[in-house]
Amino acid sequence: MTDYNAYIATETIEGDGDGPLAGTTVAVKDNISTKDVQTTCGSAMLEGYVPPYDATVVSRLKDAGATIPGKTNMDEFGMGTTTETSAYGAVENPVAEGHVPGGSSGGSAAVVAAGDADMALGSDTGGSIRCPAAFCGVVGIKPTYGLVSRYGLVAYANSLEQIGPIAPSVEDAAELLEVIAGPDERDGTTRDAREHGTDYGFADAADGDVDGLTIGVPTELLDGADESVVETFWDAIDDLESQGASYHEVALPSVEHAVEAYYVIAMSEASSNLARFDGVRYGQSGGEGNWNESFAQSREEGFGEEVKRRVLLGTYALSAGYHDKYYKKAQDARAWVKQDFDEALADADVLASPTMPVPPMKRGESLDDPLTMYLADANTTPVNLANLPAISVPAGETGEGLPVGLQLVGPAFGEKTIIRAGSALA
Amino acid sequence: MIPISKTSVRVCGGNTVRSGTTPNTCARSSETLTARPVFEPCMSDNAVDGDEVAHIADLARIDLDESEVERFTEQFGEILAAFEALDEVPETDREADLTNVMRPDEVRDCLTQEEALQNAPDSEAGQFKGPKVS
Repeated sequence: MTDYNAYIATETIEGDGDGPLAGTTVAVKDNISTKDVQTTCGSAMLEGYVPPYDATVVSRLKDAGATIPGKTNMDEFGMGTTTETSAYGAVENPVAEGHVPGGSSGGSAAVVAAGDADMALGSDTGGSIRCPAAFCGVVGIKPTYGLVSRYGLVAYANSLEQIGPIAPSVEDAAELLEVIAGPDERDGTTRDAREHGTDYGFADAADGDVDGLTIGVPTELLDGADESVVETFWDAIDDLESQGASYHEVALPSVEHAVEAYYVIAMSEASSNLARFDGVRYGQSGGEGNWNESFAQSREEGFGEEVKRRVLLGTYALSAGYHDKYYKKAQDARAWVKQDFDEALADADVLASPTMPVPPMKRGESLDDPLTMYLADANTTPVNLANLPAISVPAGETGEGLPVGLQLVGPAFGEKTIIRAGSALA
Repeated sequence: MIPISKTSVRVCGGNTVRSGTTPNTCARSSETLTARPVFEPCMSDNAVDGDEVAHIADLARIDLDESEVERFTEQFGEILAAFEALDEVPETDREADLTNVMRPDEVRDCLTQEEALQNAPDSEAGQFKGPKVS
């Protein structure tokens, strides 16, 4: 079993019988509800919280015969890029000693990279599946918004997040996506892919056939990226080209503002979503005192520093006098990003960039500098703003042997396209 | 222009500005004078001071200790300055493709009262027990 601190708990949940995932272990991120098994979101606030119901994706895993070997460690409530903000300790990168595994689904990527689980589920609000997949040298898919049910996922920023698979290969990730995808009457934001010109045959799409594939490369997402990352990125594009794909550069001027827009929207939604944690229905009790004192005490003790930072900044961005300046402008930026992606994808099958502009950071160096950590999400956050699907596949390593991920973005419900393209590399 | 009373206090760049006694250094949008003067936009400088951080924390119902207030004050200045780049974003049409997803409100199986209460720190007579409302 892993010694990377990748699991918060290792209670085994057995699947039912003979489904397509029988004999397969699928670890589950600890912000996804598991009936009768503790679900903490990496927070002291929810220590000892035991959900009375399963998330829809967990029911589907069980029905498919999968065994859940444990709940994986994560940045507190999904807020982080390094899996160092967990109340249960930081996770180490099993393939790059001394470096972070990426976040916030760092535990899920680490158990897959270390071979402790066959596959895992993560959640991606601004890159939280793709970043750890890239940093740990595995595959991660952030589905189109609405492809996978969020019922039972503890909300951080609900207009942005999706649950998705992390696996050693694109084919495995596609197979897991096939099991969890599909409409759910308990999540009104889910959509049926069959009403959007496609179907759920994701695993069959992993045939590696990129002959004739057109790839758009947004130059903005290469500017400012680490040199060794850019070099590895072009090697992967060369590889796809040698297999019959072609590429051209595209301009996405809006993405220059995406990371700021993402953080304003995500923090604003977080300030509202996390208002439920007041120590009355669940969570750490705030003890004696009046209503407000008790809530403020519960939240002081239960939340870690990054969560407090985001809830406060979100409260600020939504407050009287600042709403138009921050939140409304961020929504304009979101609409602009969507338009830009739609236009670029009219002339290309997929858009490609490095998943992360930097190789895995050294452990401990990000915590005191939140802004620098936020800016590392420059390439992943635009995709959540645009509600699009994206995959991160291993592109190679830097000169120092650190994993680099290639991100491929497709049109809405274009999962089969990005799976096919990604499977030519992994 | 809404007249500003002597007691209207604005915080800008860490300095408390009292109208009538100190010249205004920040552009004011006149319609946004609110009951909470510390929240008026200050376009030329995004720095916040400790009192503002404490006030936001109060609104968000999170107690902070002094060292947290100190750290957040410094970090928020930097982060809000980065958010300032959103000023350059053009107004953009937001295509809303909305579908009604409401279903009829029908009685169906749900959590039992016991299950709903199982994670509550305190309960009484089948109900959540909260702190005093005073």
